[in-house]
Amino acid sequence: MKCFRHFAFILVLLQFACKPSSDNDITISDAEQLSYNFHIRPILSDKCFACHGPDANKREAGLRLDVEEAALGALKESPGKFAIIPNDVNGSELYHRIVNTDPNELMPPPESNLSLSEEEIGLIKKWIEQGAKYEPHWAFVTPKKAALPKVKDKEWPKNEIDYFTLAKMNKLGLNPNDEAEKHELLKRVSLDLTGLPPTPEMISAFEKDNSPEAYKKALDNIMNLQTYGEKMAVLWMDISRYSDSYGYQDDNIRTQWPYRDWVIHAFNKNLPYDQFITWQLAGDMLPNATKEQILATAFNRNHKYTEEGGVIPEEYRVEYVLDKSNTFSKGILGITMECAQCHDHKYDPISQKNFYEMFAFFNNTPEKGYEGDVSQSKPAKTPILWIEREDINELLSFINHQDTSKLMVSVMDELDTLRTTYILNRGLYDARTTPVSPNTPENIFSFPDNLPKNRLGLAKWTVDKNNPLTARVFVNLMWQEIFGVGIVKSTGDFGMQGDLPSHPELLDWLAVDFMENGWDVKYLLKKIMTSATYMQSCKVTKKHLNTDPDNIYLARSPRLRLTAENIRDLVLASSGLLVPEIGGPSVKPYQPDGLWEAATSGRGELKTYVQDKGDKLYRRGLYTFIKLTSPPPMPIIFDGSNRDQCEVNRGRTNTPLQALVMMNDPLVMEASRVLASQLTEKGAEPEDAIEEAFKSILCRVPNSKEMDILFGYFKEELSRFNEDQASADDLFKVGEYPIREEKISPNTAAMMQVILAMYNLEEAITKI
Amino acid sequence: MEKEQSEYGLNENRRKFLSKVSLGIGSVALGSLLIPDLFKGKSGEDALMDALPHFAPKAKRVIYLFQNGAPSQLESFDYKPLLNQQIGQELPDSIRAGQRLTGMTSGQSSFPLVGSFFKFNQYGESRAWISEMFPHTAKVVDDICIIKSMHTEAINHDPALTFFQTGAQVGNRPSMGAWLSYGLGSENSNLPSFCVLLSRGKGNGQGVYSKLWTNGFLDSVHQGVQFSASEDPVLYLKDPKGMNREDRRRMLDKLAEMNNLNFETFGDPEIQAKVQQYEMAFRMQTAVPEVTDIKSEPDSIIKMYGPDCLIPGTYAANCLLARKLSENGVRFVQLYHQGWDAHDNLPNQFIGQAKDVDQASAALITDLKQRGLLDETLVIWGGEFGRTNYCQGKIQVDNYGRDHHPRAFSIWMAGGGVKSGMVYGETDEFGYNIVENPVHVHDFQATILHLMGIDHERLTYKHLGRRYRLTDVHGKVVKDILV
Amino acid sequence: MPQNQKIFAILENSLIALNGLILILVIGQDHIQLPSFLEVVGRMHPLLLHFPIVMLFLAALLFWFPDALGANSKVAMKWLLLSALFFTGITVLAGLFLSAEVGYVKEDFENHQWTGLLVFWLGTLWYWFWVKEKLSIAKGLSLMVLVLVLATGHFGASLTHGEDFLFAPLKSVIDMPQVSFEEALAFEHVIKPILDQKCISCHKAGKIKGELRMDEVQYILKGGEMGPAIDMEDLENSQILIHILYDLEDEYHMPPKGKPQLSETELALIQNWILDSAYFEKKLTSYSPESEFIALAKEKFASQESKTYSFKAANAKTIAELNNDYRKVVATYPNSPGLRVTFFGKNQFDPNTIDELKKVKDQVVELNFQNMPMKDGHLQKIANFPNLEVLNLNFTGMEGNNLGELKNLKNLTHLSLSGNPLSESAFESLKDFSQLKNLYVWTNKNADAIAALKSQLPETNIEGGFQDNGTLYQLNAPQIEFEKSIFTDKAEVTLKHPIGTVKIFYTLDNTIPDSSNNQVYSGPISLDKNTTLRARAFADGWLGSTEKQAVFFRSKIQPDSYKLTFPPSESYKGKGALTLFDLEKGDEDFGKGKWLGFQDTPFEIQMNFKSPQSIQNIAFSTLAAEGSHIFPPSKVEVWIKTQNTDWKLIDTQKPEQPTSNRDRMLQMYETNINQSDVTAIKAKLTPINPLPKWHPGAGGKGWVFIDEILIN
Repeated sequence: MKCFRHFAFILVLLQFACKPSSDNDITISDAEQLSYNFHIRPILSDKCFACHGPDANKREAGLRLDVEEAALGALKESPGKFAIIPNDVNGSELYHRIVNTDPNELMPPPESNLSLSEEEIGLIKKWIEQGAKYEPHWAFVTPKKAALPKVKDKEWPKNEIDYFTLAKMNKLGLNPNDEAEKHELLKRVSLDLTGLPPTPEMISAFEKDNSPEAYKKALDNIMNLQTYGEKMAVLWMDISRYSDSYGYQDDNIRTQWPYRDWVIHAFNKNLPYDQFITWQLAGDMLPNATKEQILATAFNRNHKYTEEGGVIPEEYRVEYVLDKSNTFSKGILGITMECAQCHDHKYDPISQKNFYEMFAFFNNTPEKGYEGDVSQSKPAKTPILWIEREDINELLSFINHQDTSKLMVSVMDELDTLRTTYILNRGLYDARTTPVSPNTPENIFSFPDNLPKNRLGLAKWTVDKNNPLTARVFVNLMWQEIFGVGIVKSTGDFGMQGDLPSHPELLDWLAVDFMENGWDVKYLLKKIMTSATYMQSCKVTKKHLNTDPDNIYLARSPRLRLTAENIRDLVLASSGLLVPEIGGPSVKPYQPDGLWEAATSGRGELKTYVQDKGDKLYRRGLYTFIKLTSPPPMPIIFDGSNRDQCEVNRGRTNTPLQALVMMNDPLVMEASRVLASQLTEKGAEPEDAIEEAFKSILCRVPNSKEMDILFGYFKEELSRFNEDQASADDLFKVGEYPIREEKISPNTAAMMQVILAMYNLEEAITKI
Repeated sequence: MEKEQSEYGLNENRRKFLSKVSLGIGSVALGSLLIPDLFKGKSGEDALMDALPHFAPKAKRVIYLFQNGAPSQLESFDYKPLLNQQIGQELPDSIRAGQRLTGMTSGQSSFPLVGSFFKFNQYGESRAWISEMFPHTAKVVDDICIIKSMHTEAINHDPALTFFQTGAQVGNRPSMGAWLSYGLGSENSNLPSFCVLLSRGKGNGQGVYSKLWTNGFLDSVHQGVQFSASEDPVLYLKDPKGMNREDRRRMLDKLAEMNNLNFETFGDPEIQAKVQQYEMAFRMQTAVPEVTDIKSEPDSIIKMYGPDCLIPGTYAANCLLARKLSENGVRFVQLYHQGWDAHDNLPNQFIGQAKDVDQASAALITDLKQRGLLDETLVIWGGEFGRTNYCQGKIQVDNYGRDHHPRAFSIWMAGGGVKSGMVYGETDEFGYNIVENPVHVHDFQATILHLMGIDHERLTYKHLGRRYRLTDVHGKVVKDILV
Repeated sequence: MPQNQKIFAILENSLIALNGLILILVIGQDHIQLPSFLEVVGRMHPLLLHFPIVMLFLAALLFWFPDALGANSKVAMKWLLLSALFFTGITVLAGLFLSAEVGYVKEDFENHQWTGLLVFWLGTLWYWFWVKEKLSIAKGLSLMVLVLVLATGHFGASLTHGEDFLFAPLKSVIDMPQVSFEEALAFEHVIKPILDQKCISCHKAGKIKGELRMDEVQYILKGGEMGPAIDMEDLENSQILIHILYDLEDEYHMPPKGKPQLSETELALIQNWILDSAYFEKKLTSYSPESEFIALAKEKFASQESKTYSFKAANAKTIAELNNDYRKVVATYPNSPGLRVTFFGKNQFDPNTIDELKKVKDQVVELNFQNMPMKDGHLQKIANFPNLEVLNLNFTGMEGNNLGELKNLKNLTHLSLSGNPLSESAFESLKDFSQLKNLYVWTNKNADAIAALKSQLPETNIEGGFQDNGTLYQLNAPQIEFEKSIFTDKAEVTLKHPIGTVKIFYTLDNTIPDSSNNQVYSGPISLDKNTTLRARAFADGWLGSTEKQAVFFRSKIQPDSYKLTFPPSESYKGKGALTLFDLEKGDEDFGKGKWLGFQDTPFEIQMNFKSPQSIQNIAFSTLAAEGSHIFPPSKVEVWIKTQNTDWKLIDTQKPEQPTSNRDRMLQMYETNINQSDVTAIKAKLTPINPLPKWHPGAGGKGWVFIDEILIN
């Protein structure tokens, strides 16, 4: 029979050769020798570890497949038999069980609703035949710079990144796109770095400049704009789950916004990432800490606080500490530990003990679980940092605080005496079991003895050059910011169940390079944005769609819909409405009536939505007031985070509600109106006006066809309003920005409609 | 998207294959004709989603009348004369059995029992006990199934509500409606598949939170769409004054023209997808007002629901609206009515709250029934937990308060494959503990999914390395109440 | 001979083609989907296979003994071998097709398949090397081929004639019976499937654990080493029962730990079936409905959907094409051939589109037209769906004059006609619809017709729905709309009611509006003095509404300076005393900062006028919200000072106190002054203390809330 098996096996092989290369797996043709990390572990982890993995309590038949020794050892329940015998498929019980047809024998058992595909079985088979070699999880191994891969086309690469990407493209028989048009490039850079479109002036200047340095120059100029900090802050607000209210039922107001001002400031002065993290985790514990460093620790206090009468304080205090450690592990370490809160992690080598040891780092604050109900609510909760006027005048000049009152911000502090942390059975606050002391999961990177076992030590551990995760995770985040998808797709989960890197060597190279260059964020971004990979055009061909629909191999630049905040920014900026002021308290722009009122408990300062007036209506999306129990609708409709907990990547959906917002949101209409009047006041001819508006909204000159359509639309609307002045008036009376002209001319109204149409073009809110 | 991707994947296979195997091309072509999904590996999620619903559903749609703040079971459906006899006497420790207390009564030195201020009578074939505060509900008692043995884990409003709606007390999990939208999609593609309607009574309110109808880690299309009482029921739906349908149509046509030009240059399918979404938005703009227009309702309907149903934002109006949305194919209509949290002055608050909800809730049942829709529509009435059998604060026969009680409370369900005219579960004579057929929140959720034709253990979504379920790792379908 | 050459060429090419084709099919085996005509080819496999066997042997003969046919043998050999291989290819192909048919399980034919394939492939090589004159290799191959032919033959045989070759594979597939509850048998369709799933694997021919076989009834009764699996004499002691009831940890427990266990229902089913005298042939329907067993069985059938249809499912593509934004065509339940069609969007509805459904007229079992505008004429379109079971025509506006059209829909069990202006003849023709299980005819008029119908169709459940039996319900109060409740000279007020047809009565003299004193609202009311507007709505068929009140204030004169004697409470200090003169009326939501609240100290204010003022009256606008401990003041006192007189108390009021909680309401205490030379006014409102007995906060201090002072 054996020879037949082999024959079958050749065929199986053939199948892999023809397997679709979905996000994770590398086809065999790429790697004759199977890799445990890349081919096998994903399968085992997904389909087997639940019962044969790290979780000791759920382990079936005493079999453990995630650890080599255990997996190769004799089977407890059937002596003499072995789950896996390297190089011997027939001897390996595991193989027999996964190909078995008898439901009693078959693994995974039918009841589990899990099943292995032909390909998966084939891979496991081949892996066993190749000697069933285990490898440590890639993400838990300290990254190293690999040599740049060889590529045929020596011309194309602009820097190291391109070697890695090009090599992959070639494997798939893909070739990189041509370089993008200059105006496209500038729009891309500007949106990526500042979240704002470039002004027509910037574009024409850039297009004129033909010097070889032109691009780098433009890049530097834009990077040095203060708006850079605002763009970067958006991501960090999601990670630090920033909000302007306490959440939970009464959801009263709080003032964490000075922390937001600090984040903007930190990015703008390009604070190295290792310090950026250290300050936020343990700024308060640094030797003679400055108020700025303490303010940074607000990072740990942005989570929800209950003000519901009658809660049990300890239940919530524990909840808060959980949120702190989960945010730290997910947002900074890229590991989801929640599962280990109730039981040993099913997939990652993180025991419940590990979890509560991590928990212990954050469990030593004077924070209270409950400080009274909404009637005693204050804008911050203990421990509190008081910010006086003089602080702002001196050290904290970046805080945009207009009046003279003192500011209070919830920050971190340590108890003098150590609070004992216990493992909480099933994560229940009142089910304490064994006491544990602060420590980090040994399987990721064990805690050096020379470090203090407190938050400061944790911070040092986090930014230790040997920590395998921190740099990888951040580099990956930046990559996601720019290309839409991280090199590791599951930005928040570098663990066993997470996606595998599409370009592992590149990720490691960038991570190491990032650390070698002093955790310099701007350097990192520049590295990426000066790569040929980044500068490609975003044209999509049939070949792209067939070979690489998800653009994992980056043979083209991605076309990405802007984030909620940046859509608002674009509308404001292109229409000239934007109020460029940086930082300060959150603002309440237009919002459909009755949302807060319908949902409120009727208590607290936020029970009614009191819309702001004047300048505050035209601030960037970053500053929109976020009431947790009723977040602003527009950002939510555009996949913004509801800030309920730490988020590291947003969806990018495309829904009818989004279309409705772009068509009917008073802001977009107002912007169209204001831009229209500006143009007509300048007395521009309709065609010119249209072209000018088009330039400032889409950052390019309309082609003749587009011009015809738009101008055609203009004429239609014009004749409509000539007959129907009333409609013109109605449409024009949108938004609070003063209407200058005493009589609304059909001309302007028509122009407003045309501009509104421009804002509704797919391209308008897309990064190309 | 999933689907499309795998299709691309498929083409890719064929292409590669052709390039690799150099045998008689014609034969290969023929071969692959016979094998439409050659090598197509199905992702676990796909396999699942294809199969939905898992079996023949009893209910096609759900209307959930959530009584936010926790109405007292002891003044509504759980008749305990003993509490009236023993009014003022201490709750025996043997009964309380170490149940944890909220901070509001943990300070209390004594726990005096207090009976219902309202009278109870038996109704219908089930001879169910119902308080005089629910005369209309009593009339439809033979169409509903009263469950007196619900229990939950949380003792505070926020976690309890979140638990009921998302299956977890904390965190940002998808809510029940989002799960159903994800699992079954929308019947009517011109309406959202998950709608949320809010109202509030005069009683002590507890607020509702958008996270109760969040899509969690699911696509944002599954998020509950909150209808507002204003003349613009769905946010941003209404075209501005001065823009009628034709004008909008013309605009969309121009946009399509422009976008298609762009598609020719960039070839990104997303561009066409966008055009489609604008078309759907346009259809929604007609569909929603058409559906939500209550002026078209006959007078007799107005009488059934009570005249308040004509005032947008009232519970009655929301019940009527719920019926209209549901009959037009909305999968899950979620109502919240605030104001049941009577820690003091309970009788007084209860009268107002009951008056708000009794007639309209009953009318909804009758209305669905007379249209032949009750059999395929599951209606649920209930709060997030119950209230204590002892008094909070000062005790008087006609003026007392009750604290939160997670151990036993009453809800009712109707239609959609649930037995009618049934009373399920029983509590002890103190109304404190369940003595028969306990129904845990996860069981309740599992049962709803079951009625919708879904096996609650197989409706999963993989997020950050873990397969999530509405019922977490618990839940047993309550078979006894199924038709 | 060119003739030969051509044919050889053809044969050789087809050989290559066959190789390719076969390779693909093997690789994609599990994905093959056969058009039926190919199934036929497949079934020819058993017939075809005989050719190659013979020919291959002949070819081999010629190959080993080339001289047999003298000079021509080489050509002959080529002929023979080529065509032999050609047939082999065809046979293999057919075999693969056959294997793709349902009912074949890979493991069973794997060996046969591989040997067969090898025959073909090695054969091809054999030919190849032979042509290439590599005789030694060719020889070896030829031998292999022969051996393989034998092997293949053998495997093939055992495949076709092996024990229950057809059914074994099917068994594992069966989960629940495909029969309806009505025709299901207790053992065959309920119990056996469970045994097949959870027991047979160890208790069947070939694997008789514990000497027990459960694959046939007789063996079950015969039992194993422990005795009869089911003991008809002593059911309680049936071994099955005993073993499945053992504790999971017990070594005797069945199915053994580690194997798939019986679900609770399954266990209960077996248990109840056995104890209910283990009938093997009994139909489920002939059990008494009380029996536990039936309850459970029903449940299992329910989740299975008992309905079965005679007609075939429609083509998926056709169904997809019939779906659009306003019409959904979906299967009634997972993989049911029956279709449910629902129409949406009454403005887009076009009755003629019904005809498009002709393509699936046999499959359509549910039609839903509710709210779609339809005419009686359209009914005959509907009559074209022979298998229709559920028809929803609610609110389609039809009179149903020719409902008779539908009479012949024999399967029609649910008919919904609610909300339609049904004519008498409609009810007339409904009498013939005895096939209906449910009929919905709520129209809120034809109460008698419905009653009559009920007697004519005793078998049908007829739902008459809500009948307006003349009980009068109370209208809800009208809405009062205005811009500001405090004005300096004029205010305009509009009254509204959601029900268009009502009359709104109102009064301006603070009396309850009723038929005697009222004015009927016709258009906006304009006010120019302090006014309490009270309004009620009336309409035929309704009780008059509760009243709605609104208080309007005129405030002409503002003091030049004023001072509070005691500051308001910290939590309700609004904008300080200024709040009282900002013409901003606070509403019932007193937390908003438009109110001043006093509890421990009374509200006391002194207002001064630079130049003496002629003042008619002064009014204090306050709030009463007993629920929140806010009461009317226990005492209201007003002093004035004129140019020539010093302070004198001109008014003392003791407002009436409520005796129970009321809705929050705005109140007004007015004092007439009618003096021409007032220079200062002093006023004091004292909070109630203690709170009355009936109040939850009894004994504590009450609050006074005030938001405006109006001087005219």
